[in-house]
Amino acid sequence: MTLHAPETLSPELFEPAVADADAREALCRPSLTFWQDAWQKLRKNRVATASMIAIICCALLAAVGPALVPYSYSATDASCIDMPPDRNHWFGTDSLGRDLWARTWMGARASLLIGFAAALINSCIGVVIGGLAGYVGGKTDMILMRIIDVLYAIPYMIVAILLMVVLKPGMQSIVLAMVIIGWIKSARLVRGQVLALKNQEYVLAARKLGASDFRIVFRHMIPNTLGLIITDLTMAVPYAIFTEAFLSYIGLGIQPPQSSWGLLARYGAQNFRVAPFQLFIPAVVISITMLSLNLFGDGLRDALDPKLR
Amino acid sequence: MKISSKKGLAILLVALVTSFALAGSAPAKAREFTFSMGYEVPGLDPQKANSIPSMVIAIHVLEGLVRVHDGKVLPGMAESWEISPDGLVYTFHLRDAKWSDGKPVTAYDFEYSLRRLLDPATAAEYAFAAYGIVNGKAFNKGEITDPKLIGAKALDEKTFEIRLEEPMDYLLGYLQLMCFLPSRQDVIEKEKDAFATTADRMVYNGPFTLKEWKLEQVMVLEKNPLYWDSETVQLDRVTIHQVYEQNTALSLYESGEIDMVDIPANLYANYAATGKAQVSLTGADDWIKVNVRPNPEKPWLADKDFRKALAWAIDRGEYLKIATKGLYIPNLRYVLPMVAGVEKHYAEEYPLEFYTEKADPEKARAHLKTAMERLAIDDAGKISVTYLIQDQEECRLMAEALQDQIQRTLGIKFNVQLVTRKQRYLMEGQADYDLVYSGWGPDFDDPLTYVEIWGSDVSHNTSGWGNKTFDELVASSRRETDHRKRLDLLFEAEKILLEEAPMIPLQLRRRAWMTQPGVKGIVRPFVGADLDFRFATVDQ
Amino acid sequence: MARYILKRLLISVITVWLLVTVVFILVRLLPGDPFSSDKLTPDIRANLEAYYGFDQPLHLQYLRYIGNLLRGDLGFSIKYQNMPVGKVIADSFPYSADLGIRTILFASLVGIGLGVVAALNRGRPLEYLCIFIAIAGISLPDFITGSLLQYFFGLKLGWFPVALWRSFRHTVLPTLALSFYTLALVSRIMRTSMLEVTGQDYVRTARAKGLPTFKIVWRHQIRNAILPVVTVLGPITAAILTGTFVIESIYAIPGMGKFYVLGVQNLDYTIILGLTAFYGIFLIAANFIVDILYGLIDPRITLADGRRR
Repeated sequence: MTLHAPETLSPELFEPAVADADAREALCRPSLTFWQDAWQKLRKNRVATASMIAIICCALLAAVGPALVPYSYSATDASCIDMPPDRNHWFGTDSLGRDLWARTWMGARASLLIGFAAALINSCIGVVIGGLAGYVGGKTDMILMRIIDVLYAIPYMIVAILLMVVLKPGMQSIVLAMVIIGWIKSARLVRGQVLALKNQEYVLAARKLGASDFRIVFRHMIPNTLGLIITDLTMAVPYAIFTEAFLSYIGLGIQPPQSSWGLLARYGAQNFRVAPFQLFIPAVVISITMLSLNLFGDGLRDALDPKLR
Repeated sequence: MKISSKKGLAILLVALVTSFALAGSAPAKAREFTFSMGYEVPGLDPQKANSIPSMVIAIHVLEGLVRVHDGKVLPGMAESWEISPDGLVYTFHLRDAKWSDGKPVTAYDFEYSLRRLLDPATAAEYAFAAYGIVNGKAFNKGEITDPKLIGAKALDEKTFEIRLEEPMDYLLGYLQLMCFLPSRQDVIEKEKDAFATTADRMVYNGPFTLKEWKLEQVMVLEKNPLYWDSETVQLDRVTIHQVYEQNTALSLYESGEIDMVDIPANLYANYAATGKAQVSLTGADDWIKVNVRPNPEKPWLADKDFRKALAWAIDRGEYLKIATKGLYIPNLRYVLPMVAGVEKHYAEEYPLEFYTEKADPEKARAHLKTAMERLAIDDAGKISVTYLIQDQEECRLMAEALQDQIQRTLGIKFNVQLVTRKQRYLMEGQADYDLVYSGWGPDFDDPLTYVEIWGSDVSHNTSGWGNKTFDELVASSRRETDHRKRLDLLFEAEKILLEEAPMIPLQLRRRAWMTQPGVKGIVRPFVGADLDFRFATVDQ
Repeated sequence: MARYILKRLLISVITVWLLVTVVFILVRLLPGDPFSSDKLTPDIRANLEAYYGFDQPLHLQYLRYIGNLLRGDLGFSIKYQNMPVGKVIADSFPYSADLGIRTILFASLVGIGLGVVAALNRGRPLEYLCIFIAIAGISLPDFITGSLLQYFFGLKLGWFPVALWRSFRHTVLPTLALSFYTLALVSRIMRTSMLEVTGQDYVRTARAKGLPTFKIVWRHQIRNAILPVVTVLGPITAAILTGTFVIESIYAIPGMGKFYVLGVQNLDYTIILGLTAFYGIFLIAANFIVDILYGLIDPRITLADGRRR
């Protein structure tokens, strides 16, 4: 900084300002849409970036991981049962002598797909129905909420078994089985938020200014519940992963000899006394993925928060 | 017995209470035995009973005409009995014994119980066990309605007679089955539907009485002072915790809370290595049942050589080593080798090794080739079968191991279909399967219990397989009074079954358990109740 | 308000009836029947069906069931011979409720605490600690936490009894294991919700007025942020109070949880119906209370008269 006030002010120092209306309106900051701005903020958030990289790594391993070892995920081997991790079997072997590295990443394919698909679909349905119930209110709310009560109280096992009878086992069936009841939690959450937001000042203002219901819901309410929706979504992924293990258990889920994270963890917990690593490896892999997902979700929430702009 | 100080205190307290209860008797330390059970106890009504866990409790709180211990028939409520030369009439002479409320046990109690068992209105699941008694089946099916026509009569207070349609030389052992244990008319008429729903709504005539019963939680048995042979009962109190999680039961055992525990299969090898595990056969004999009905989409199922290809492709030793850690053992024939023969075990008198413990891939592929030539199939990859199993972790592991072995050896497609237990029964019953994981637990200690279920008109045989010679052999064995000739016939039938291969033998189940030091005399039979602590003792 | 409550009560009765009817139909659609077993013969099946009245037309069976239900009679179990379903519930519910109340209290208090701490310490290590605890809670399902707590703190260290339900010390591990997921869920939602509230005008106003931080947090932020937590806690409370299969099995607690699972496994129709109706009543009551709490927490929320224009 070498600037200091000159001793005398002379007119040469000044330039006449042009009274240009356009220039006056010009913005120095580049014009960004809501989403561009969110993306910039997300990129600047180091934790969120690291989390995103971790999630991408996990997806990559799911894609190529099983091919990195010379063992098939389904080949049993009586000569190496319950072997702890070593040079040949990086994650050890299971009770049937199958390579756990191959099984973990084969399982990742199924679990990540199911987890994300189920969580996303649940959130979408939940937002629509919850938003509708909360915003319209009155009889609509009452009827929708009571239907939800009935659906939610039906034992899930019954629903799952009935679906198993009707559907062929497969990815779509698993996702359907999770979606059929899974949206309820999100719907209740969104409804509660919309009920609270409905009478907020800015909504009242928008309404008085003649905004349509559609505009109020999608421009004002949803962005303000987005934080909760994202949190709910990131929490729904692990829930779906473990629900899959339950579905596999009653025959609707992953078919033998396929694996999934939920199944690996479930079997690991059972066989914990014999081979603790069979529990720890899937548990750690799941936890790291979920941690990344949640931290990324937090970053996304911050990036999307209109108040922090 | 390893006892923590806390438990010691508890025992002391119990002992103190007991000593007050038995006012006057010297305060002695109660001899307690505690264990965990991992299955539901659906009820204790003897005639309505349908499960082994119920039977375990029942044989200790009730006593039938005889008592079976460690495979031997001992006198029970009957002191002695005679059997007519044609093997059709059994006459039992009852001893002076009392129910827990002091009333005498009479032959009328047994008559009532058997009539109640067969009465269609009772809807007893085990009524079929008494179908061998004269008019038993007809009465149960409602074809006759006069209970006096049933061949089970009290001749007087102390004499009870059973008349059979056909000789059953295994009858005495059979009478240990829970449905033959006595219940008392006046108690049932008083309690009606509430009979046997709580500990005090029943009367007992066994070595123990039920003191406390909390459904799916805990059962407490106490020594029955009115039992005719109570001096030989060495336990004062038996506590049974219902614990579903095997690892939890094991933790309870290791922390000294319980005296006996079953070892889960995945830990069997570890405990066997330390020498702590005791093993015994459960009696359950598992196999793959094949649906041999003509099937245009899967013609190979009806082909004997294809079925044998599957049977020889299975390496039973390896498959059981990896799926059950060697707890279950290979079965190389059909009938459980340990069932009673004439003098020794059946397998000692009628040895047979139809299959081998190791797979024979050459033989398996040869059989497959024969079948494929006959069916004009050029590529094994075009052959697919679906193996139906129920939703248990153990079944899944075993199926995955089988799947890998068969696909590798034969190159065919072997799918596994998992369904709930009830759906498995439904699909098996309706013959809606290619292959199903099936099995049988014995009702009595004789090869007949296994062989008879493959008769062409037996409801359990849903495979569509029927063989005239086989049916005739079983029928003539039922009429045969000579034990050895009877078993000869059954052995022939067994060989036909294996040769025709509507079923592929897999394994004999075993259970592993361990007891705290000082616990002795526990017997784990493979017929009926799978635990017998009637003569058990614990060190003080 | 009184009219609204009365109306809701009436609708609740209808909802329970609807639930029982739906489940009555669904259980009959499940594959198999209560009697099937390896040894059942057709003759004996006929006797059993006559005994339980299954030989009558389904609508008569339904009418009889509803008639009994109106008299408060839930019928007899099929699996547990002659055992009244009402007695099964009465004997097992106290254990589940005991564990459930401990769990809900612990999970909601600690969960809300963690959420608030995380929100107030954004970007600081303390926040990440709170996140780690929360993520562990959602990525490790109850069958893992339950078994691990039992193995290490029960068996290996001997700090607490491994199982059974006798004294306070017996309750510690199951309560912890069962709390984990709810605690994590509550803390995640609370954190997100707190952040939403922090940017609101009234919080800024309060700060500008110079209110002490504690008062702002307590009076303005927590009170306004707790709404979504109340939403999720409603159904969770109903579910936890009426028994949880996994934790009750692991700790051998004689609660209601196992009867749901065994009921469905054994196709014990009366047990399934009785327990579902019981749970349904709890769930409906819980959601009713949640709706009333909405109005108490945020007086702007009105449910009684629908849309406010």
